[in-house]
Amino acid sequence: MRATWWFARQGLRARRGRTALLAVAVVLASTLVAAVACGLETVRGNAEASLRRSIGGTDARLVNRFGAAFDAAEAERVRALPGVEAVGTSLGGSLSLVRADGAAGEDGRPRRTVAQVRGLDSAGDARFRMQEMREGRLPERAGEVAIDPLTAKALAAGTGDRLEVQRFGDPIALTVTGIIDRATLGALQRPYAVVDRGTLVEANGSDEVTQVMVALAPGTDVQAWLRANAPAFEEPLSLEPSELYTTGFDKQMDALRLGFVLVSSIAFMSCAFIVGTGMTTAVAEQQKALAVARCVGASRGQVFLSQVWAGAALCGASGIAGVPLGVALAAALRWWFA
Amino acid sequence: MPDAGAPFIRAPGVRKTYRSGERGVAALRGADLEIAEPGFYGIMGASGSGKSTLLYLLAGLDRPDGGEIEVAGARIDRMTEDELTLHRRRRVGVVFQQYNLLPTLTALENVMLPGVLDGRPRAELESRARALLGEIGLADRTHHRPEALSGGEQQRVAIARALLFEPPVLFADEPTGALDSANSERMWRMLDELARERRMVVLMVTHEPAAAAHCRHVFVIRDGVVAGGFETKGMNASDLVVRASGLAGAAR
Repeated sequence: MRATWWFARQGLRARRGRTALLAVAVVLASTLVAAVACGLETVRGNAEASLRRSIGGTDARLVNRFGAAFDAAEAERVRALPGVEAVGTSLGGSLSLVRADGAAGEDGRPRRTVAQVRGLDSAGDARFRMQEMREGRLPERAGEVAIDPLTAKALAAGTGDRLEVQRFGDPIALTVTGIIDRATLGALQRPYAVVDRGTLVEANGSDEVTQVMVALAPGTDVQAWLRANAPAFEEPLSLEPSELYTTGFDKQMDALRLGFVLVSSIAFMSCAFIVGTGMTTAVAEQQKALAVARCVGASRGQVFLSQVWAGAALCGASGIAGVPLGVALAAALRWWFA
Repeated sequence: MPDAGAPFIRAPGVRKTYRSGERGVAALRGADLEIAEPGFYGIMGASGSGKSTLLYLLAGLDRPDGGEIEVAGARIDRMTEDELTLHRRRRVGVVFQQYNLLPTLTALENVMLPGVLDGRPRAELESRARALLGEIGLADRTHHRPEALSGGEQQRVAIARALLFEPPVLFADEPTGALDSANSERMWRMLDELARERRMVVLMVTHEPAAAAHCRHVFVIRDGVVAGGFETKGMNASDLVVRASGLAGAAR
């Protein structure tokens, strides 16, 4: 071992120029691989996060076939099914919102709007969020509300402002936690807000849900799980795959992952080819020296190992040096394009 | 040293054919060679007669197709690859026409190389290599790379490398082929002295009669067989040419 390492070091040291060139080539190659991998992973992660935010990351849902609300206790039945990792519920409805400070609009009347509201009980879990935020965050407890730009405009409200739900009985106080990122589509678009489900239940007076969202344990076959468990729920309740599956977005995400692996592999192989060519040339140049070594008593194994040592030392050190450079390059590019 | 009474080299019926596609070229067709006494020996013959092939087979650099080869008491034609590697490293020395020093190593490191490959302690090797370089008059050139040495100096370094393990047999393939006449003369004398002082066999392939005149005994090889041999005592180069030509002609 010591002899082959000594032999390898002599070869590298004696050809300083070539060794330096190869080291630079390996550093560049390693930088390229790391930068491509980081860049692609960033793109894939962003795309996946964006998809999950728009359609949610759940695997299945329990709904009323006719869109009506149903007893929230059904969520507990779903939670008890085998293979269920997490359950989230949402309740649809509408609320009459006013500014808590009673500020009036241009017409002199108090600012007021009726918004379509979605009540969530698991906004802390990213899989159930399904909302892009322009600023702030989704409500995570009772007394919080996130509003869309239309609601914000109607109430002249922003993050941190206080609103009230008008209803028969005492108003419910709400604090705006953020502005939902929602495109303005036209005059027919209605204001929209997200509250904690408990707030909506308190406003409506009945503990109901309109959807139970299910996240299954990783590796669970969603279709098989649905076939096994759907019969447990009677009409009009329906246990069905979520948008993630019905729209094929899961396949899209798989394709993105595969693309990431493929492109990273191609980048790695390209770099390996460059390094391999360099090392092959180095070995070809040393052919006579290696033959002489064999003549004076080097075994085949010693000659082979000396070249492996030389390659490993060169590629190992330079390759490791290139990784942080690649990560830095990817970060710099991200910063630049941001 | 071989066992008492055993020859230094015994090679009866050695055959070797080189193949190039469908064609085969018989380099050796049953060459017989035996050297029982230490000394400086020569192998002469025309180009393509098979003298270098025979030397490479005896040195364990190549394998014969047939026949037996016993060098320093070991049957090298029966050795495994690993055994042959160790034999080359420890039991024989080889010197080539083009010196074949590693250009990336200094003179000292080149001499130490077989010992490094053998895993010997570095201090012991360095001391031995320095002593050898001192013996051949290169004590002040130990840290020079081959490119900084003259042809004669490089060849002396190659001889020192071949002697590191004090082998009983040293093979030399036209060792003065790339040297001028003064350096050649010095080299032949050095090889002769080595053989006599160390009681070893130095077997040199040459086509120069002046080189063969320094040998104790010359073998003549022609068309892949050893045509014969003769003692050179009292002969000059011209006598030697006449005698060798006679043997080569008789073999036809």
